[in-house]
Amino acid sequence: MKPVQEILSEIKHFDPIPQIAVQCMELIESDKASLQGIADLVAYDPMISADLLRLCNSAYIGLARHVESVREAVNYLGLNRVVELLMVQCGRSHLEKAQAGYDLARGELWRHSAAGAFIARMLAEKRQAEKRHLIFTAALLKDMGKVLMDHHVHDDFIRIQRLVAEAGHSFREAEKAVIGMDHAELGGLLARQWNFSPQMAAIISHHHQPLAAGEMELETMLVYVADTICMMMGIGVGADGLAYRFYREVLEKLSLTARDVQLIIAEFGVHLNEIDKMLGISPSPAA
Amino acid sequence: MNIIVGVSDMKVSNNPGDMIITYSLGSCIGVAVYDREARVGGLLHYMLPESELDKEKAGRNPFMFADTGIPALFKAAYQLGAKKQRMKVVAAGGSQVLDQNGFFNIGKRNHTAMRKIFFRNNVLLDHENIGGVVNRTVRICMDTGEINIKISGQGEISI
Repeated sequence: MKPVQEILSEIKHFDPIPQIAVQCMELIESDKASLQGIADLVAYDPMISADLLRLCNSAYIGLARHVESVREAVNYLGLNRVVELLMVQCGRSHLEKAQAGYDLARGELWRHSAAGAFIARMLAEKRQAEKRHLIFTAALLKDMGKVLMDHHVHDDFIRIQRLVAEAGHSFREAEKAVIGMDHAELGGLLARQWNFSPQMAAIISHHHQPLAAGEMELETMLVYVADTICMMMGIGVGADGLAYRFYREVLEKLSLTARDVQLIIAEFGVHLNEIDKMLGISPSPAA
Repeated sequence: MNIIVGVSDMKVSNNPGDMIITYSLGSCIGVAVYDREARVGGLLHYMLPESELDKEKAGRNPFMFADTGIPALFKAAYQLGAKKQRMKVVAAGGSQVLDQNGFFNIGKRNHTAMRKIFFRNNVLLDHENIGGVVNRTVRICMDTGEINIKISGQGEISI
């Protein structure tokens, strides 16, 4: 079987993301989200509920008091932040695994994903963008395609690496040329398979080519800049390194200067250790 | 013991049993120093070139910037008995995304800032592994003074 056909058949058998993540996004995108609605959803899942409270009580979140229920967490943190943390927890089971093809130790992809989502939220707030949940969650799940792509990248790594080193391809372009599909495209297909909205799938599919994202251009550009910042900071960066294209027009369209980007790096850098602690990840992949 | 240097962090040691490591240098730069005679080593992992960007943050954490972090690394190593003229100095990192215009080039700015500081202070670099699109890890073995740079997808070199 050709890799693309193999991948398409693998999508169908890929463990789904916890249903609560999809239900939560549906509620939010329909503007019907309420404390009651979210609390009810979480209450059905005691494991998620316990993990969510652990994240809410982390130093990164910085609550002055310990919260013991989802309702209490929402009171102190607001619905938005609790939903974000719920999403971080929902992505964990897939993103936490080591990815040998991308040379990512256990926890590194989750760390990259969560950090990217937090930076995307900072950018969305600065830009006063609407659809912040969509931006946050797309930033969090954008590399889900890597989880499925991993063993194909592992098998074909030398050919992919050669295109990057010798032919000037970005890693995504090299994936596409060698395997027939790239991790962003695959991530978009997964998002649809899991019943996330077409908007979410569009952002994920274009997260390395934001200027091709059509109606979702603004949201995709924010996710893209957050991802680029994460790569530059070396957060959860693997064998693909920083081999992705940078489009200057994106910063211009967002009215961001190179200095603004440095300020974001400085701002986020302060919290990086707290995020590692929150996720329970040691910043030290197996050497 | 493994001593981990985080992002915007610096550690020194004079214990031969230690290994000082910093992971995942993207556009950031890791500066490693080692004095074989004093058996003192240190490793800095800075993110940005100049502290004037945010003086308050630099005050709280000088290791975030080249111009405050590099002097702090050398001072900490001197305090443990290292001497500038005996020190091996190695730098790694400063990668960048594929940006033809160099607009977003923090890796290069980080490198230039370091070169300026070393030039002004008569510090000679023994080795540098800078730039490209790769991700690097730096490790100092305090027992032998060997400094290793692991480059994503390319293996490891030893200095």
